[in-house]
Amino acid sequence: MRRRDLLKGAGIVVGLGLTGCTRWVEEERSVDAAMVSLSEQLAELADVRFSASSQGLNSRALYDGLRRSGIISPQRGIDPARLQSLARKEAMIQYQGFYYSPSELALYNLAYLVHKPTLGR
Amino acid sequence: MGHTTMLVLDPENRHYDVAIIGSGPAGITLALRLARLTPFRIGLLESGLLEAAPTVQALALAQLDGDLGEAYFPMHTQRRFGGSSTIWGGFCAVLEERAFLAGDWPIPYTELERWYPAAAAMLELPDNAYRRPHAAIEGTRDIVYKPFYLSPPVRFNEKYGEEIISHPRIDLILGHTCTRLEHSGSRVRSLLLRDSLDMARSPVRLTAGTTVLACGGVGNPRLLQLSGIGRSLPVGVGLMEHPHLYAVADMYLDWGRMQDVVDRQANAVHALQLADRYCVANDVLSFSADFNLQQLVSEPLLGGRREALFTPVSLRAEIAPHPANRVGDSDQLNALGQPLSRIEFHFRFREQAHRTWRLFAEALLRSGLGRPSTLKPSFRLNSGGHLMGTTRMGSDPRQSVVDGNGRVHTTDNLYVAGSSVFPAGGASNPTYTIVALTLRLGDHLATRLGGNAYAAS
Repeated sequence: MRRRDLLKGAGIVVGLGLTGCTRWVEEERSVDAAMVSLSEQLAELADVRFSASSQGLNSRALYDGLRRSGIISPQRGIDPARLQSLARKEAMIQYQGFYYSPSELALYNLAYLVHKPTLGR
Repeated sequence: MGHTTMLVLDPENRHYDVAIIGSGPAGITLALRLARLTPFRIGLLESGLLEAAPTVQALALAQLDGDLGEAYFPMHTQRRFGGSSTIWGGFCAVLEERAFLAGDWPIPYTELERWYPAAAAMLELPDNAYRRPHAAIEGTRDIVYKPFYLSPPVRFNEKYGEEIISHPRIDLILGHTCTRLEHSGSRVRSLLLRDSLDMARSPVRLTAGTTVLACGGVGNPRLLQLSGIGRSLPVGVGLMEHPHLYAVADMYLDWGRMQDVVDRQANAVHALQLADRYCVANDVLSFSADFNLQQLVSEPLLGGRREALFTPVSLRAEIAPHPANRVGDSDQLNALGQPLSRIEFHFRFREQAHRTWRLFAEALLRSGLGRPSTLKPSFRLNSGGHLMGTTRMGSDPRQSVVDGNGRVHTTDNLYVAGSSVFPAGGASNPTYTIVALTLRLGDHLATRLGGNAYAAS
């Protein structure tokens, strides 16, 4: 639980004005409170175990892809039902000894890339 | 002890309405059931004594060819009053319905299910063992929660010994090994017995109106083979075991969805299992994925960070009967001068384990209930000491040895009790089902041999 609190705190930091790869998140955020929620949600999910899987990936492209597929939206944040629905159609992939759906792993990659600067602080 | 001991030292020329060969859970259950329902005289025969005796135990040794280790029979076979119940671990779960849905059993599942409450009482299991043998989990129809309830474990010799020994219509005949069922036409005429300790003594005979074999997954087919009964039947063919893979994978489970399902009050081992209909639809056999409740962590699952169990997974699996897995004659003799059992057994499980785990992993992941690891790249197969399928039940004598009531197809007054009649072994430990099926057999015999007056309510 302590870890979760830490991550929530990190999410707020991001919401308060991280720059670099997260700038586009901020641009879309505007004053929409739900966007803060997406940022917080991504912050909760950010985990260093996804550093390898996200290597070489573009956060903007990930964001656009996940948004196009309805998994995330600036208004509603992460949609678990959509993620589950897609997982039923996707072939599982293996990463570091565990199974993921490709969409789920893409989401965690995005979370890592967006919040990488705050991890470990 | 204040009662007449019904231990029989010299069984020669005795006659019983029912002779039961073997005093493990099946034999003792049947003797008690018949004694309570009928006025029959019952002979309960046991090769061993009240305690383990190495000389008698050696009669159960077998020549092994395949994946069962040398320690297998010394570890799992007990020739003594109480049989395997003297060493079992107490794991109990109802047999999966899958094999009944697939038509592998010749009887409807309800025929078995209705005996589980009485079997639970015998094994001192909580009512949930049959009232709630599995539970649905919100958000998935492919996976169910299945606890394995733990009997104390009941040692049948300790719990039921006094009742057996003091019962006026049950004779307990210890230290005599039945070496042959003498038969003519379609009937067993007499039982040939040898003294298990003094093997130089001449054989003795007793007679019985009906004989029931209850001497285990190897003992049952061996006695048929040694007696030349059922030569046209697949006796000894299709031996099954339960492969056990310990800590062969890991998984995270969403505790928020599991905590109301898991029976935390019960003395049980917790498991997930593919739902029966999912198994049938995907043509996959049953298996259980055991988990523990020891470690709660925070884990990303289905797009959110959730409180999750992180647990090693042990698998208990079903294997299909294979004609090459069989019990037959060895070229070596035991101390009674009879051929030892030769047991050919190969698990043939590795490919199935990967396929089944992958199906389970897909179901788990797609339900969002958890995240499975991959199966470890190499794993060791362990056995469960669950010998099943060697006198399988069925309606076709070309494919089975006993009918839906446990009667040997070729022989009117000969029945078989125990897991050797299972045509499909499921992934549940067999003792609970052995006791349930034996109670059913007792009811059948009471009705058939004594008329409706003895039918159980």
